[in-house]
Amino acid sequence: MNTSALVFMIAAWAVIIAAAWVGLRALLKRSK
Amino acid sequence: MSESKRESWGSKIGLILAMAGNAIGLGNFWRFPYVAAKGGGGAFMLPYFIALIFIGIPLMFVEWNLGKTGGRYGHGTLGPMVYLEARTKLKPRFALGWGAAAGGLAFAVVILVNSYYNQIIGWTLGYSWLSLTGGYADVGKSTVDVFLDYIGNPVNMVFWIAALAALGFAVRRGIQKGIEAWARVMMPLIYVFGIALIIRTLTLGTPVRPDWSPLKGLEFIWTPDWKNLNFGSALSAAGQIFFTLSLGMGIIANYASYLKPDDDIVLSSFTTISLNEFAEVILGGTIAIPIAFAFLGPDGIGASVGLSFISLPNVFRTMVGGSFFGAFWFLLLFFAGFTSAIAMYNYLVALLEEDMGVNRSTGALIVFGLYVLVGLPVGIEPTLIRGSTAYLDAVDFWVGNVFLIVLGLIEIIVVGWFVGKKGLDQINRGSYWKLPGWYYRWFVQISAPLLILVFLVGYVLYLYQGGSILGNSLKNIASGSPWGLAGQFVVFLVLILGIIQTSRSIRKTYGSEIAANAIQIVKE
Repeated sequence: MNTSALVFMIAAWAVIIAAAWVGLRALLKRSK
Repeated sequence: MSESKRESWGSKIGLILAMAGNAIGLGNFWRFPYVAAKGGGGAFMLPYFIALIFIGIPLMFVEWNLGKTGGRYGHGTLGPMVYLEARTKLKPRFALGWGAAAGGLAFAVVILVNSYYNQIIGWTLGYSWLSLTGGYADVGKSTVDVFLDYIGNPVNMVFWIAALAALGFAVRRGIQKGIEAWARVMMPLIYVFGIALIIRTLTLGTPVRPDWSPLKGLEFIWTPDWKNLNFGSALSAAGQIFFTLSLGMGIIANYASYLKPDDDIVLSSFTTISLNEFAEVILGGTIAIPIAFAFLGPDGIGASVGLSFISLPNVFRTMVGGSFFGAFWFLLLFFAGFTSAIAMYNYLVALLEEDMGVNRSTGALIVFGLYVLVGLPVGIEPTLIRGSTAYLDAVDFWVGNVFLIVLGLIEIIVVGWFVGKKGLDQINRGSYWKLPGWYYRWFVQISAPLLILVFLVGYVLYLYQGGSILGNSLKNIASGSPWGLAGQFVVFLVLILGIIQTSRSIRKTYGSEIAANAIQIVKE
């Protein structure tokens, strides 16, 4: 894989995973 | 009007799983890979993320808000919801026009999409069966022939009917015991199956040629490609955002109508979008294209609609454990399609409950019959003319490319401009996270409607000049077979019926104030 593809993919994946993690965690905290 | 007692979601996690299930559908796993491949991979991903940020996310907040507000007044369908919001600024008779247009479009979208969506869900179920029983294992027979034989055999419609029956059964049980319960089982399975398939994909190595690897497939999707960026790929990227997030259909608003008055919108919408993007970009983007690239090379990924049903079976029948992973793939598609189809099914049941006063069980039965009726032309056409899907193409062309976007524009104008700043208060009421005023101003009120408008005008001009989206142009839809013409006739017939039905539905509750053209039923 070339570097620009790798950087683009990792950045997009990181943002999406972080968003899902933060969102779910905040919801779980509040549903207790 | 008093706020009516409606069913509501059992838990926050149940709600999020159901909402994510609503958004995550065939669009994520079946449509996204081939649309991204056709749009040029890296040239598609750039406008895709731009459309997500500037159109998708703001519109998701708006749909949740329309639903939550409408649900407080007993409405589960879009027409009355939009009417209620539009009359914040407009006289009731003008507001009726906006409500009828929105409700009519949602009615048409939900009925028409299901004329083919449920058929495809049936195919996924049938192909899961074929995977396990070696139905496409014979390497002497091309997978194109396997597919054409499959859709050309009326007996295989049994999978479609089975899927419809399961949908009816789920919706009949109601919000908590039906929709929420099924989402709690199916949604985790989608992620488990998806992650298992990703691990298998990335460990394929180079089974055919040393320069064909799954990573090369990923490289194709993720290499930022400004040079090949064109209007066609930007349009299909924006269209994909509507499709994948289930926006412009009324079904997000319908689910949100079962929220309690002080339930959260901002955090829940944000999490729904994140889970959808996880399923689409990470799971959907890392399975079909890399597998196809590793086995079939660069030409194999441009297989359009047939990527899932024609290219991948080619792979599954030659790889180790292929029947097992093939079944995983098609069941993944089935679960994803099913959890979205439940939402559309529920929209129509809510409409029947609201407008005809029927109970949920009867409503589920009526929708089952309606789905069989509207789905028959899609099922029958390829049994009569081998490989022909002109009816499906014509319906998908108008609904998938035009109706969703027009409806999205109506929704965002009504909330962003007619409700105005009060819309921000509605969204923030009860929300754990608050949307800042600047976001509402710049994203909800300005960027989203402006971009959708540019998108629509550009789209019409592009098609008028002979451009095509995913291989379909106005010319080949309009001059197609009698099946294509019949499809177009049905599209506009259902739209007109939808507008009439919605207008009657709004008048039923708000007739006196529309006649007086002055607000009598006061909304907070």
